[in-house]
Amino acid sequence: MRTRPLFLVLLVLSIVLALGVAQVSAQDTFMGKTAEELFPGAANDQERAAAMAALLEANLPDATGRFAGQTLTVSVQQAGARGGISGPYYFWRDAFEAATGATLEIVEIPQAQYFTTTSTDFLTGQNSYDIMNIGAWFLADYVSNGWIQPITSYLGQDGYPTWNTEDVFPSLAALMQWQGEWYGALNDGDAQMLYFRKDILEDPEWQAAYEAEVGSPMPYPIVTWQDLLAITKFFNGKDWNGDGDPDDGISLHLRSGGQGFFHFMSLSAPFSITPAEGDDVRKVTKYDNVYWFDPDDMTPLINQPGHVAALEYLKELAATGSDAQLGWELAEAWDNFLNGNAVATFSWGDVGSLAQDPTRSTITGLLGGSRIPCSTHWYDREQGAFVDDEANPNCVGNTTGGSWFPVMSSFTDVPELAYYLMAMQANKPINFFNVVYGWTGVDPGATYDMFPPIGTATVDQYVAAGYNASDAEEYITGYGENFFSHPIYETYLRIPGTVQYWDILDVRLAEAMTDQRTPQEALDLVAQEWDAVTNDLGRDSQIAIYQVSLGYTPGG
Amino acid sequence: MPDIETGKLLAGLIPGLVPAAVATFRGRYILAIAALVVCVLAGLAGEYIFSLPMAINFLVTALVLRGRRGKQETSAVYKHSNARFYFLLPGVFWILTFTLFPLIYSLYLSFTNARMQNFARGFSLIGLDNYAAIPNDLRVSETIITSVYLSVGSLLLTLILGTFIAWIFNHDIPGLRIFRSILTMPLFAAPIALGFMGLILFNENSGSINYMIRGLGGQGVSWFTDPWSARTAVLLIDSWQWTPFVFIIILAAMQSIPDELYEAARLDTNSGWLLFRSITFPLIAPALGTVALLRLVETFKILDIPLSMLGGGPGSATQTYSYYIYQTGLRNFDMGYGSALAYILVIIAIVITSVYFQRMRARFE
Repeated sequence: MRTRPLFLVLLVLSIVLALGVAQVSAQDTFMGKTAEELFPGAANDQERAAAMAALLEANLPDATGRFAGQTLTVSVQQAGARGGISGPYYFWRDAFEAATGATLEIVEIPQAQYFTTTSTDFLTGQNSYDIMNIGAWFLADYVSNGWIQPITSYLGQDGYPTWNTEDVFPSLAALMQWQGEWYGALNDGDAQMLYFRKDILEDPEWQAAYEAEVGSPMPYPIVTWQDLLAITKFFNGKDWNGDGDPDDGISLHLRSGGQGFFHFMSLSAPFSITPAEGDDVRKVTKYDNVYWFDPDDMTPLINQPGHVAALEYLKELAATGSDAQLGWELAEAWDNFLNGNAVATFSWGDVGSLAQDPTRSTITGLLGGSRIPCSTHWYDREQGAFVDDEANPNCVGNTTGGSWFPVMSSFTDVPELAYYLMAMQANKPINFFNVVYGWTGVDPGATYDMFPPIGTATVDQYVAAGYNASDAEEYITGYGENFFSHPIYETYLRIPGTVQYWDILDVRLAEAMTDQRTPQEALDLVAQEWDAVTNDLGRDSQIAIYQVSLGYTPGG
Repeated sequence: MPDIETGKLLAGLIPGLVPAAVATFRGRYILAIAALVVCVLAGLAGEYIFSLPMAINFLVTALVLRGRRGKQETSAVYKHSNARFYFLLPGVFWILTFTLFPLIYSLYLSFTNARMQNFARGFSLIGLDNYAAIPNDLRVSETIITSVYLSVGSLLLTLILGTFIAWIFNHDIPGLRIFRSILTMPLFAAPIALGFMGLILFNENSGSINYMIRGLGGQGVSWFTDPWSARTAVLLIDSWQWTPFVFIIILAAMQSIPDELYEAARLDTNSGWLLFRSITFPLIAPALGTVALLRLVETFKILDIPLSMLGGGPGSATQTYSYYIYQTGLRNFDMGYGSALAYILVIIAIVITSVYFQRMRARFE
């Protein structure tokens, strides 16, 4: 019979096909749910497929048996389901719920009200949130009031998504810890870097025009703040983008109550911080590697000549951009640069990823990036004099920003479930997805986001997510250098009352920028008001906490 | 030393003893038990802070309800007369809990060094230190300048515009009711939303206000970066919202003036200005005074618009006194000093209203 072999062939084929379909089906679902069900908020099929691939690679443990029926409440900065920082919680919610059987409730709070709202919640004993997604400068107040609990004991435990604390940039890892205990899990990694229009600055015609007008070659690549100012001065007011209107040199956001004061922090660091002598240049001494206060007595350093010189410089730099930027919000400054109206900006990692978004950017493929500039002019507090050195400028890195990360409430009824979510967001494939997709607001904070030799990422991984290869190279390399190539780093202020100290700085800086006060007057007032806050909070306790936060030993 | 649970129980129980005693004395045993149970539960739940207003509520309730002793308890009339107090209870409860208690508690806080950093661990009485610090606080003088500018400016602008519009609407105009409804719409908008609207309207680059100014041949105004322009932008938004309020009150006052007065006056003059000055204005003056008082107190509380529109900036240019109270008490959590600042505002409001009512009384007596 000729039908028997045919039947056997068909049978084998059917089995193979069935197994294949089952295999594909297994790969395309997570806990029985498809990508469409898990990521309804994805912008397109490519993003959905990338998210599904990341989810499957994350290898999340099935925790439905432990957490089914529980509810987890997380508070996050208000930006919506596709907004920066809040977006990822919405995006991964269905996957989290599928993996745990629990319900995730997301409470959005406006960023300007976040500290007020969450603190009031604790002070009045409401304890509404199991997880708060906080800025690093909240940590001291949260820890000292006993509102959050360490997560160190959960690290490496089975039954939770895996993440490796060794992957986190050391300077960021320090912000998530307090006295050796981990309180935060990796999410966002903030630092400010320099962005510029590579196509314009590398254009021989513009370089020739610069030399003809200024009398010296264009200082490119930009190494120092002084280089940047010379370039933005030249380009400001010229129609270098060919749209018929004069364009800007720099694009900043300096509105009070926003995040403009962060610009001053990053910029002023190399004007005011000096490295320690000897082998360990990062050692904190009374005079070196300190920015905020004298670690012995909490005398504010903010009105020292280096800080004042930096503020005078910032005014000069801002004058090479739109007058309106003094009232801009962060997004307005970004958009001005992303729409091709400014030749440079310095900001967080978001600019690098947003430049790839065709709905927001007209400069895809034209982006240049480098670490935050150094300064040829700085103040040596120990010597009591300014130093000018063009050959060896002072370079100081930063972790400026919130590096928004989740922390666990001390009063949560579901600590294990809370840690599951924290670990899930910190898990390598999921965190990398968040980093790569700019709308999430999550900036690189782990070595696996970086190219070799710092990390293991490749340009192709970014290109696969829609990046222009050149932009990815510029952005990621610049961001990595920001964290790893500077000899010293600006210390982060992590003491009780930081919100109040920074509010004062924000207001007085804006007064100087809008010519209501001179830089010296404004910073003198900041120092005076900081002193009053320190006295109110208790100088001795503030000194002790400040010294701990710096790793400073008196007389050491 | 009592343990923590006993301490909680006592913290809740002690305030409840007073209303319980009064209720027992008046024969209201169920009320006495309820007072004790609620206060103890509040204490055990760790919400000692609520034990005190609860106790005050029960005390007032015990006092307003007639006692049973010596009364005809079976009297239907008696029962009926007591019922009205039960109907009042929700209102009394609300006022005592959310008005009187915070008022008293914040007065207490104003004499302490309470702030977030020591709130849980305990804070202490510091006498009048908070009040003594106010005259030396630079931010106070800065914010008062802004508050006075906004108060006086907004007051004058809303009164003049509101009266003018009311005068127009006091004539027979076709479609008057529709226009009146449209004109009152800003009154119902949330100030915080108006602040965001101002952010769009006054945007220095793309805002419609600067667009119109440039269209008329002028230069755009630095609404967000020049301190006085920023204050003026806030003033204009606030005035835009509150002009309809003045308009409604003044229109009602104008429409209550008898036509006979105008008819008699027209025998002597046909001048609209003279009629307004001699008849309309004197007769709407009491209403204008009341509106001015309400607006004055209201303008001193401006907070939402500068907060949402400009974040109080540039610098501290649009930070009002109320803004500073909010920032001190609810952002920096310096509750002691914030309460003292708030009480100064309360005193100013009391002085203004007292003077006004004294003058009104003198005028009508």
